Amino acid sequence: MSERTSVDGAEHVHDLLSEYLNGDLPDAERQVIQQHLDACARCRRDYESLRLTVNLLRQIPLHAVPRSFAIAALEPRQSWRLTWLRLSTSALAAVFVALLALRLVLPSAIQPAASTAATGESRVQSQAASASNAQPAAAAPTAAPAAPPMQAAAAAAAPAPRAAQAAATAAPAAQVIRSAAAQPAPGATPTPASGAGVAPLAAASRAAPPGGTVSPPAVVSAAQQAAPVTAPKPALQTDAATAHRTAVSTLPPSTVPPRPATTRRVSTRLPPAPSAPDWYTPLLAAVGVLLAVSLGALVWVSRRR
Amino acid sequence: MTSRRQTAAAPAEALANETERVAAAQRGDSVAFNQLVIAHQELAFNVALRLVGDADSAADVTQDAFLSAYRHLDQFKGGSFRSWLLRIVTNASYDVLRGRRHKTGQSLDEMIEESSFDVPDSGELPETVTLRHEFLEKLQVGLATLPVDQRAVLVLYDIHGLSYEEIGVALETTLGTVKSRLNRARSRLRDYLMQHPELWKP
Repeated sequence: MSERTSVDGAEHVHDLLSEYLNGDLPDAERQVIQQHLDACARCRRDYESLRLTVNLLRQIPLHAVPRSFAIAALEPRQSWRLTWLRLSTSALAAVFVALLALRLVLPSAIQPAASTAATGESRVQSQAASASNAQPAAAAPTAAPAAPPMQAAAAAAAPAPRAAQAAATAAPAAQVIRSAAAQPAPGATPTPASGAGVAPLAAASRAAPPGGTVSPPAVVSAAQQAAPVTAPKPALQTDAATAHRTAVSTLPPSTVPPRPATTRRVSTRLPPAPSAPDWYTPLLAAVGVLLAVSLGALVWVSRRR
Repeated sequence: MTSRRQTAAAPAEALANETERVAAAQRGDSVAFNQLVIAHQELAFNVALRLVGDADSAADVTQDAFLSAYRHLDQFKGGSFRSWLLRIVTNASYDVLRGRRHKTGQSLDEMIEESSFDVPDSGELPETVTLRHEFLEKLQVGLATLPVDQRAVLVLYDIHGLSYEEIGVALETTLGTVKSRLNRARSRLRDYLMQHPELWKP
């Protein structure tokens, strides 16, 4: 502090008094100020008031802290390791839940895989399913344009309005045939192992030429055979079968490709596979074990911190 | 009067301890960080209290400062942890004061009402306590009349006993500036107190 006020030829020391008070001036400067204070009442008064001010400040008591400002409970500092562990645990938990949901909520989603990995019996089953699908699938579109004559034929065969109504929609009619063909034996034994259940259907589909060409007599005969056994309304189904035969026979053999949508519907109609695919249980177990390990590590790490 | 000036010269052992704690906290050890919090929260809170004037705001400032310190611990590159922490505290206090100025501006009466000097619970006579409480309130009002940069130096040096160097780090300024601000702050507060002679003999 070089700035000094000169009054009456003597240098006042206001600006150095603070440092003098702190005791951090060199000895030489200290002595100069000491001498000046001895001589100058005004500077002495200044010094005295300054000293008292500082004393007052030093006596200010510390205020007790109103609470602890520790932050652990509020926001744990995240290390990359913990972050990674949290992410992986969450991902594993999500996969685990998704697998469980697949099994519980959407059992049909894992069944096609089941039938491909199954025994020879079920392979026959699925063959029968896909082959038989070709027929109604092919029949449905061809029957549609032939609706008026079919309607007429149905009306001729059974004058009841109920029969006409059933025949008016070609696709449902085909469906009824299909279900009639598929149902005869399964109605008695719903187990998938029963090859007898699909025997008529398989026979019908084997009779059909390759390429999905319609073979009405086979289907209809199967339907007619089945109708008295399982269908609760034989009259209606026979009408529908008749209508179908009439409609299809009026048309040349068509080669409409089978619709995959129908395939799925039919396969669900077949006795469902009760067991999960081969990969499901090991995968679920592996994810479960990994999840448990990850959770354990997470708990251990967060407890250690 | 409980004299508890925190001496600038901390024992070397404690410093080494603190360095270890800081290093541990930087590695993500929140327990070590909370040990630092416990060691410094009284200082941090009281500095904030003298700067912003009321206990509630000071508590908010302190909490924010510690959270900020925790988040930005990787930016501490050694030196005095206390200074580094106090830089965060003073900046947070400045923010509060700036926010107040932007609002309606707090009156002196409000400052007095909210004034927060602790009444010591030592066995003093009630009259004395009342006197002291009143004195401390007035002193806080006097502090509030100082420009904030001068007030900060006065609080850190005269109330809390930090060194010039520590204050220089905390306030991001030079030693010369620290000394001249201290000089001006003391003179200014002295002038305020001279206008209130009843305060001179608490």
